[in-house]
Amino acid sequence: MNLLPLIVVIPLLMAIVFSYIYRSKYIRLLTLLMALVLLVLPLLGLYGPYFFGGHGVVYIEGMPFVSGILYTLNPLKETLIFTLMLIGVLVLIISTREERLSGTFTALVLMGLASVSAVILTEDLFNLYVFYEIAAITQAGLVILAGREEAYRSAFRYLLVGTMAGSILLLGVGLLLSATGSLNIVDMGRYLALKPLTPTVYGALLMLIVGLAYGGGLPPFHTLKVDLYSRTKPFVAAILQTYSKFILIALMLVILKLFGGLPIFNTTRGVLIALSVFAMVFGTVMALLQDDYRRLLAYHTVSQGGYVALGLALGTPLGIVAGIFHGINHALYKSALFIGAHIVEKIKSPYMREVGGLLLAMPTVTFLILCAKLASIGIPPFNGFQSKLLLAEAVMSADMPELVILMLIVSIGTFLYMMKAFYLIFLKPCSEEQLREYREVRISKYHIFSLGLLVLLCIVLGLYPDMVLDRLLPLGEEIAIE
Amino acid sequence: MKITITREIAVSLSFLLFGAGVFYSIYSIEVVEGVNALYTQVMIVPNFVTAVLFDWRGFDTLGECLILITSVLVTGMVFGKGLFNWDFLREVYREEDGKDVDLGFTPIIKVLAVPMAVLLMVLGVVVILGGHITPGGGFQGGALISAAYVLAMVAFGRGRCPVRFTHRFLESLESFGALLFLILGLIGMILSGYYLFNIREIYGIPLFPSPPGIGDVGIIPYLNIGVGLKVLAGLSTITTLLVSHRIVSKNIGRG
Repeated sequence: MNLLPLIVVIPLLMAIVFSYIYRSKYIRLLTLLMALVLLVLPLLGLYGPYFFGGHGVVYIEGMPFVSGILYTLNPLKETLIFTLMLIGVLVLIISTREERLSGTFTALVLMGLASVSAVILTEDLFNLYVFYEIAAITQAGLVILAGREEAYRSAFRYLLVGTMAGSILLLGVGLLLSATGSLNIVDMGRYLALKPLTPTVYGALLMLIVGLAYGGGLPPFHTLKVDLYSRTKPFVAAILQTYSKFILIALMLVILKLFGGLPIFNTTRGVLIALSVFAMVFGTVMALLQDDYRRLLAYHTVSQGGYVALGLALGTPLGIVAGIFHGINHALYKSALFIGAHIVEKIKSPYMREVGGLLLAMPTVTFLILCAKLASIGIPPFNGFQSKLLLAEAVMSADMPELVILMLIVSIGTFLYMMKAFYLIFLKPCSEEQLREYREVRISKYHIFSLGLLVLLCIVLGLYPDMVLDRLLPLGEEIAIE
Repeated sequence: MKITITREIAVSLSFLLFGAGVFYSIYSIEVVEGVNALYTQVMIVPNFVTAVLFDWRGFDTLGECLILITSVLVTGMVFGKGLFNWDFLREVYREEDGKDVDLGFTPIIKVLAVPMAVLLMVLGVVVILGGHITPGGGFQGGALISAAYVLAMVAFGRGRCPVRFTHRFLESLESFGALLFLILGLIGMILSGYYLFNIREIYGIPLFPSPPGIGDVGIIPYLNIGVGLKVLAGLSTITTLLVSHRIVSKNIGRG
């Protein structure tokens, strides 16, 4: 039996249970157990289509239509879900070491994991919208959990804009349904390629791009995401940024599948590339100005989101593969950086100028964070280097050398602010007294384990990128545009 | 000042352009029938909307329920559950005795509110149970019942409300409704291999007793009941959270 829906259903089920028993004494233990279960989930499904409710393909006037909801699993989706679950597991493990843990945190993380995996798995546009909305509400909830006034405010703003952006996406889905008579992405793409385009389709495309920019944190919505990441606890930001990166990948793939073969795709590609270039440049410039380490990382996330979107927007096989690979790598090293920021905040403060000399207090953590930083800049032998190289190759082969120069400049900017942060936090000399203060704070083994595991994965993927690339390449060629 | 005016002009221009685009694309809409032809030809239950919602696209309905669950959870983060163990709230709420205020509605409102609430609740139950035959369903019925509850609560205040649901009871009801939906889906998966498969009968015994001639009802009434419980509990929970601060005092360890 194909157990594919369990990837979505088990976290949902457990989320409801956790939210019901939120005051229980055994929450920590149960959360750890749940984390183990999550690791097994990506292995449950079989490759191929899965029809919900047994409603398969029907033929109407000779055209095949999927009558119900279709999920598919392929190596690409499996890799994405595995990465997502891994980071979710690490965040859950770290959360058991937090004071004031309640079942609501676990419930929200599980709800987010389930909805993002549904967004990745689904081949149905309305189903995608439903789970996209759950993911948006979940992210706001996770930020509210930080309990500070500014966190409340940014979550409220995110939800307020989310109501509008979500409705616009829904309207887009509705327009596409009226134009094609189906909600299945493959069916819709085939119908759109056959019939002449109407203004309805153009409007729907515009609305999907608005939804994409909101869900994935591209301009003009990037400041909302930055507020979310920087005002919550940094280890929660690790899972938040993974959610939005994977939603970005999923929605980009949807746009490619729907509009890839159409004559308007060239214009669409221009718009998407412009959005991603804006994200790259804005993110880097703003990160250079920050004093708060969390905010710096948040802007870095936006700029790296631009890289992912750029690769996918190219529409070539290499570009798609490079974009997705960079998304996975980014999720890994960025989570490591956010967990590192959590440790730094625990020890002293998130403001870089107030910290200093942490190297002497915790050499292991410093080394691991340095590795994650090098990966984020794109220095061999880390995974960031491999994916950035692949992206540069893809952009070159798409005849856009000027973008490669821009990517290099952005990378240099990344180097600058990452090293500035590293110097201020870890290397800047500090007094003997301060050092004693640092040593009094105990850092849990769970934090160091999570950080170590993520850095190890960064190195492994940097040395053997084929492990992931082999799984992505066939799908990249299938989705790509000629 | 100058910057704000420029910004406002830019914002209104972009809204104008976007709005014109949306309007134009909606104006030139041409509906293609596509797969919807199938939905109107095959009869599963007499209410075709319910058939689409709970049979063809049951998983979407589950997702919509979960949107409501997540919203209730997030509302609870601000007003209820999330305040669990927050120390500073103990200071804030130390002074207040947690009594509800009577807003002083006239007897006319109070006398009329009770029969109206009862009628609304009965209508809600009917709408939920007949969701597969008559217009309506779980969402609508649940909303009706919770509207009755809110009406009674507004008229009498939470303390003296004739319809008494405790917060814990509503929470249990909500979890139960959602779990019912999810587990019915799992049962379908065990029996047929498909999640949310509409099981017509087990060993020749129909799952929901209904007169002949109204199609394969299967699990749809149970799904309706699950959604109904969930919606009624969810909407009522949000209202309770907003009108009462006893839940806050409970969550911070007093009372």
